[in-house]
Amino acid sequence: MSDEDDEALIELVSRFDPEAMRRLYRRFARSVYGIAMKILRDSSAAEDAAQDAFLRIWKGSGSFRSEKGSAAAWIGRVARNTAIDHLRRRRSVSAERSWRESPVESAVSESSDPENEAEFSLRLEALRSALLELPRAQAQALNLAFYEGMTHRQIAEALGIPLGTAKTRIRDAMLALRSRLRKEGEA
Amino acid sequence: MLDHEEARALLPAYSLGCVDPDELEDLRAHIESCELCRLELAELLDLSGEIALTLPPLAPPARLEGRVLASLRRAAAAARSAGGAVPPRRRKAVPYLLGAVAAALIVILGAGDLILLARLRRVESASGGGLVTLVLRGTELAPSAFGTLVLDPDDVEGVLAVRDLPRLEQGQSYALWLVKAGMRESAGTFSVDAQGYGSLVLDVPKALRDFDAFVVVRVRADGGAGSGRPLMEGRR
Repeated sequence: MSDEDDEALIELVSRFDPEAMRRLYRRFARSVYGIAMKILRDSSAAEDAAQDAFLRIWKGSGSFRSEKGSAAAWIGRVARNTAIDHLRRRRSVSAERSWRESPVESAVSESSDPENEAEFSLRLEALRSALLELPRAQAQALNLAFYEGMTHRQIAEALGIPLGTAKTRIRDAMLALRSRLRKEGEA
Repeated sequence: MLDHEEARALLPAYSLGCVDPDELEDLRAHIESCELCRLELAELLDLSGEIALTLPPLAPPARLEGRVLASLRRAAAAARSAGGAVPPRRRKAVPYLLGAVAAALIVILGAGDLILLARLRRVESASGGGLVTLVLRGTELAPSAFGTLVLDPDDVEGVLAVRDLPRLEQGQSYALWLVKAGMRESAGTFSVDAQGYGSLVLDVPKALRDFDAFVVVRVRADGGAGSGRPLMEGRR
């Protein structure tokens, strides 16, 4: 167990400190796998995507810039983008999707710096609330982009709305979320 | 070709990867040339990562840890044998506060000068007095050009944003020169879009307080000197 912050851990990972890799995995595996499961909805595919995501995290660790954002958010983004890439690859092979839930295990994550973690948890809680408060039309468009990996045009077709409307809904949703987080940061 | 505002409007979608292919090339070209869009994009990318983290965590199968660590060991061994022991590191980013101020310039540049000055004073005040904002005005070679330079005098970094500079010809770029007692030092080069909008993150070896004046000149993109006649000037 270590109480180093996420950014320090990423720094160690970039030098391929094997113990740091293990700590990184234990700290973020549940988040990375949870994201992959939400997007891929298949435990085997989610495992592949999680493995790929950790590989990308290692490859990107040397260029991670903590001045521009938190390590946790960066890892979340890598996990999401990797899962979306796997989803798109799978779609190109077959349009069919299996739906198997993975058993939820009660594994314990290694914690990071408790103070930062508490602050980050509050931020994520504010973001969860903001997501729930988005107008339905915006949330629908955002979900198609975020979890289904659809482009503006695909979203417009799926929802039967003009392309410009799809663009506006995505933009407004993201800016509303950003605005909420900025207020949270100022509070 | 997308102008700055059009590109900026697409940044939220770009952070989600949902921009259609027919717009991607133009958007990426703008982002590549616009430090302010890159700063705003960084914030949006962070947001997209945080959205992912709002999902409930889920414990993976126990076997996954062994798989992941084994694949990382293999990748690291391959990288070492190829001569690259660790992933490359990039240069230091713009400090957060400077980045936040620079992002504010996006709005400022679209406003008139009176509004500009009022907003700049508020920005300076919000920075706790640590940052200095300078106005660069166009010379007779570019009378409508206008720009702002935000810098930390004790540091070696700053951000420049300009508008209404003339379009460049093939093989040319703009350079920001830092001047003191007749000596000059380049702080980097930049290009402008169809509206004459451009930006630059300064990267200089000395503290910015060591310089008295800041000028924008046209130079050859290959690094060769141009006429050296300033198109914009500003003084501390």
